[in-house]
Amino acid sequence: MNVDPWILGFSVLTVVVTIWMGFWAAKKSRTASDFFVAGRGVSVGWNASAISGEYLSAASFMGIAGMVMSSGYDALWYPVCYACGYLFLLLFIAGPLRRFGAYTIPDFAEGRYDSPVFRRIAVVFVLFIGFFYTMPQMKGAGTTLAYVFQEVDLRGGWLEVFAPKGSDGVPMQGFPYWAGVMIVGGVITFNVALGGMKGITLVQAFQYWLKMFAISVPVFVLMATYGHYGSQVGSNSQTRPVLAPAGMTPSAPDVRYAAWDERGASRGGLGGPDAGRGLREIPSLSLASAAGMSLAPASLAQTPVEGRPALDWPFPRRDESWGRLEMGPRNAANWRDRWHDLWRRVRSGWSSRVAPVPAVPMDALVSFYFLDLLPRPEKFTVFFAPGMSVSQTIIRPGASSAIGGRSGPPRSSIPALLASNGYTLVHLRRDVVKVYPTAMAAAYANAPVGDPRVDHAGEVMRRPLPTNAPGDATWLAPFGPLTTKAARAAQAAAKGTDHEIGEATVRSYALVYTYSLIMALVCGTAGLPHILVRFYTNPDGVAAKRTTMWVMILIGVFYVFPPVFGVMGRNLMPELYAGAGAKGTDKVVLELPKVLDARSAGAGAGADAADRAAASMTGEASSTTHPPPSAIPWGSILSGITCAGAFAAFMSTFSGLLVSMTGALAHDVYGRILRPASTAAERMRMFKVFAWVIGGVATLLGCFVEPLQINFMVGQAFAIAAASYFPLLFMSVWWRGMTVRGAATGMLAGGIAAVMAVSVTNFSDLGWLPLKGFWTAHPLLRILCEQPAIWAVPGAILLMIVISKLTRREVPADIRMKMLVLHAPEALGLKQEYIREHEAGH
Amino acid sequence: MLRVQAPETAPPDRVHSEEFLRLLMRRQLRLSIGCGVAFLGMLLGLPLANFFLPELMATRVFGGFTLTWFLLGIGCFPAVWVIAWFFIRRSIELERQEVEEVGRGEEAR
Repeated sequence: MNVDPWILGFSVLTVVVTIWMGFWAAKKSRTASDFFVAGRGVSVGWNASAISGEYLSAASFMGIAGMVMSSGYDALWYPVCYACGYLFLLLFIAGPLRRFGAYTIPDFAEGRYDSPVFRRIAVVFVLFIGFFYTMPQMKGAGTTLAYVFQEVDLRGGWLEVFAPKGSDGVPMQGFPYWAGVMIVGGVITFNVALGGMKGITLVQAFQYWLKMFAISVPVFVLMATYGHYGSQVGSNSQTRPVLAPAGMTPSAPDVRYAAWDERGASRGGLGGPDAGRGLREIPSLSLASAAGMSLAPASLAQTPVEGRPALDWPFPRRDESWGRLEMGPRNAANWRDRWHDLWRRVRSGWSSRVAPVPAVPMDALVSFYFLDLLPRPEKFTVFFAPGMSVSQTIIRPGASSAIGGRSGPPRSSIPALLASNGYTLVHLRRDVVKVYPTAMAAAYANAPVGDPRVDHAGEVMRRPLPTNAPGDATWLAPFGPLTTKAARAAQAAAKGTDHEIGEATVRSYALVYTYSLIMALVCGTAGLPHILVRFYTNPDGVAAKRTTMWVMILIGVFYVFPPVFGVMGRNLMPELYAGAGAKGTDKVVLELPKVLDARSAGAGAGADAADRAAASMTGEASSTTHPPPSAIPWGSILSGITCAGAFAAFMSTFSGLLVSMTGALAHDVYGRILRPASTAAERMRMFKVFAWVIGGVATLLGCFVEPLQINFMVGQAFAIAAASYFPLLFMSVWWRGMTVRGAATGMLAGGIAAVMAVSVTNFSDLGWLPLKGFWTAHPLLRILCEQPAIWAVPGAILLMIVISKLTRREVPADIRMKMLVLHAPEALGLKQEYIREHEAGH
Repeated sequence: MLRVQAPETAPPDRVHSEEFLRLLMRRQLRLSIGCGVAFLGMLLGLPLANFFLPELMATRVFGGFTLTWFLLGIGCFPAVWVIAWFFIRRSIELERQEVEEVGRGEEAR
C-alpha cells in the first residue's frame, strides 16, 4: 500500500469525527421534535452555519470546480444560481410556508388541500429528486476514494478482477470507482439505519466551517504561489505572450503625444543638446527614483548562457531576481508632471541647435511604451532580466528617425529601438512587459508555456493543454462548450449540406440553454426536500429572517472559491482533461494542491528535480513526483484538507437525503398507506429496513454514473424539483383558486416530464440508448431534454391554472383562513386558531 | 357576499376579513415582486448582455477578469446580499405594521 499518509489521515479523521458527532448529538436529542426544533435554543449564527452546511453538497464542493475547468464561463451559472435560488425561495415561498407550519412538502400538500391522497402523490417526488441528488454525491464519494487510494495496485493477485480497467480493457493501477461508492454508501447507510447522522444543528454547523476552511485556505495558498484569481483567468487570452515587434500594430498618429506637444512639450527627440548633459540630467528625473523601483543587483550581469552549453538553458533560474518597475495610478500624475518638466528643460536646452543622437535610460523608455498603450493612467509593470542594471542602461539608437523626430518616440518604435540596442521587449499582458537581452528573448519565445524551470516573473504559469481541452477563447467567453455542445455537433454534421447551421443559430440555442439552466437552478432550490425544513429551526419569524440573511452571506462567500480551483486547474493541472470519469476534472479540488509539492521538488533539488517536473508536464508521472523527504509536504497537507472537505460534503448531503427519503417512506408510505395501524416500534423497525433499501438503491445507481459530471447531475435534480414542487408551492401560496386536482395534475405532469427528459439524456450519454444521431439532427430537442426547466416549469403552472379553473368548485371551503395563515404575521397567532378550528371541525 | 364596509367603521373582525387578506397578500406580493424583478433583471439580463454586447462583456477588468466573468463569478453575490437585506428589512417592517394595525383595530372595537 502506497498511500499518501496526510491525505488518508485527514480523510479518516473527517469520517470518524462526523460519525462520532452524529451519534453524540443523536444521543442528546432523541425525539422527533428535538430533531426539528434543535435550533430553538441555538443562536442565529450557529443556525445559519447549520443551514449552509446542509446546503453545500459534493456538487458545490467538487462539481463546480470540475465543471468550470472543463467548460469555463458557462459553468459559473451553477454557483451563482445555487446562491440565487436561496434568495428566490426567501422572496416567494419561505415566509408563507414557515407561517403555515408544514415541515415538509408532503406535509404542506396535505395541509393546504386537506387531502391525504395528495400527500401520498407528493411523496413520490421526494424519492425522484432524492435519487437524482444522491447519484452525484455517490460520484463524489467514488471519485474521492479513487483519488485517496490512487496508488493502490490490485494487479498481480486474486484481487486483479477488481482493478479498474483502462479503455483497452487492461487492468490498471488504482482503486475501482464502484468500490469507493459501495464503501461510502455502505458506511453512511449503516450509520443512518443506526440512528446517527440526523440533521443535528451542531454537526451541520461544524460541517459548514470545515468545508469553508477546506476550500478557502488552499485557494489562498495557491493564489499566493501562482498568481491571483484575475490573472489566472486573464492568462486564457492569446495564450502565448508574443514578441512585441510581431504583435504590435504600428499605431496611427499618436494622439497623446500630440496633446503633449500642445502643452509645450518638446519639439525634438529625447535627451539634451549633448549626451553628457542628458546623462546627468535624466537619471535624476528618471522613473526609477520616482516610482521607488527596485532593480536587480549588478552582480548578476553576465549573460545567462555563460558556463553552460549553448542553448542548454539560457533562462534565469528561480533564485535569480528580476528587476521590476511598477507604476500605478496613484503616482501617475506625479509621473506625468515629471515628464512634462523634463520635456520643457530638454527643449529649452537644445532648441537652437541640431540635436545629436539622444540618450534615454531604458526604464524611462519603456515607460513611454505604456504612455499611449494604456488609455488612462493605470498601473503597469516592467520586468527587466536579471543582471540588467536598468537606470544606467542607455539606449543609443542609431538612426534618429526611429525616435520619431519631433516629440519623443512613438510607442510602435520602442521595441525596434530596444532591439537595435540588443534588447527585446516581450509583451506579456496588456499592462505587463518584460525586457531581455535579445539572445534570451529568442529562446524564450521557443520555450514551452509554463515550463517549470523558467522563472515566470509577471506571468501566470501554464502547462500545455491537451488536445481535448476547449480552446482559450471558447473557454473564457459565454456560450462555450457547455451550452453549445449540442448545436456544435449538429453544426459539424450539417456542414456542407443544404441546411448548414450558422453561428447565430448556435448562439441563440446556447442562450436557450442558459436560460433553462438558470430557471432550473433558481426555481429548483425551493423544491429540494432537505432545504425547507431548516426554516423552522428558529424560534420566530424575525430570527428566521435574520438567519436567512446570514445563510445567503455564508453560502455566497463559499461559492466564490470553487471556480478558482477550476481556473487554476486549467492552468496548472491540464492533464485532468485527458482523464475520464473519476479521473477527470471532477477531482481537481482534491488534487490541485499537490502541484505545490511538485514545485518545491523542482526548486529544491536542481537539475534532477527539474527534469522530473518537466516529465510531470506530460501528465504521465505527476503522481509519482514526491517532495524531498526533508521538506514539509504542503501540497499533500492541503490536498488532505480538501479531501476532508469533500468527505464532509458528500457525507452530510447523502445522509441528509437518506433521512428525508427514508422518513418519507416509513412515515407516509408504510405508516399511512400500508399499515396505518402499525405501532411506533414497528415503524422504527421499518425505518431501518427502508434505510437499507434506499441506501442500497442509491449506492447502486451511484455505481453507474461515473461518466456523468457531478454538477450536471445535481442540475438535473434541480430541474425535476423546479418542474414539480416549485409550481406546487408557488401557486399554492399565491393563488387561492388552486384545487387539489389542478395542483396534483400540474405537479405530476411537470415532474414526470422532467424526469423522463433528463433520464433520456442520461441514458443516451451513458450509451444505453442509441440517440446520438437523433440529437445531431435535432440539437434544440437535445437542449430541451438536457435542461427541461424552460418548458416544464411554465407548462406545469399553466396546467395547474387550467385544471383548477375547470374544477373551481373544489376549492377548499376554508381557503380564506388558509391564506390568512400563510400570509398573516405569526404574531397574530392565526395558526393556533386554525388548528383549534380544524380539530373542532373533525 | 357582504358589501365592503367603509374603512372608518372598523369591521367586527378585521383579521378575518376579505379586505385584510387582500391587503396582506397585495403588500407582500408587491415587495416580493419588486425584489424579484431586481434580482431576475440582473440574472436574466446578463445572458442578454453576453449575447448582444460580447465585446463590452469581454473587456478586461481587475487584472485579467473579463467583465462578464467578474460580474458573474464575484459581483453577483454582493448584489444578492443587498436585495436579500432590503427584502428582509422591509418584510420585518411590514409584519410589524400589520400587527400594529390589527392591534389598533381591536382597541377601536
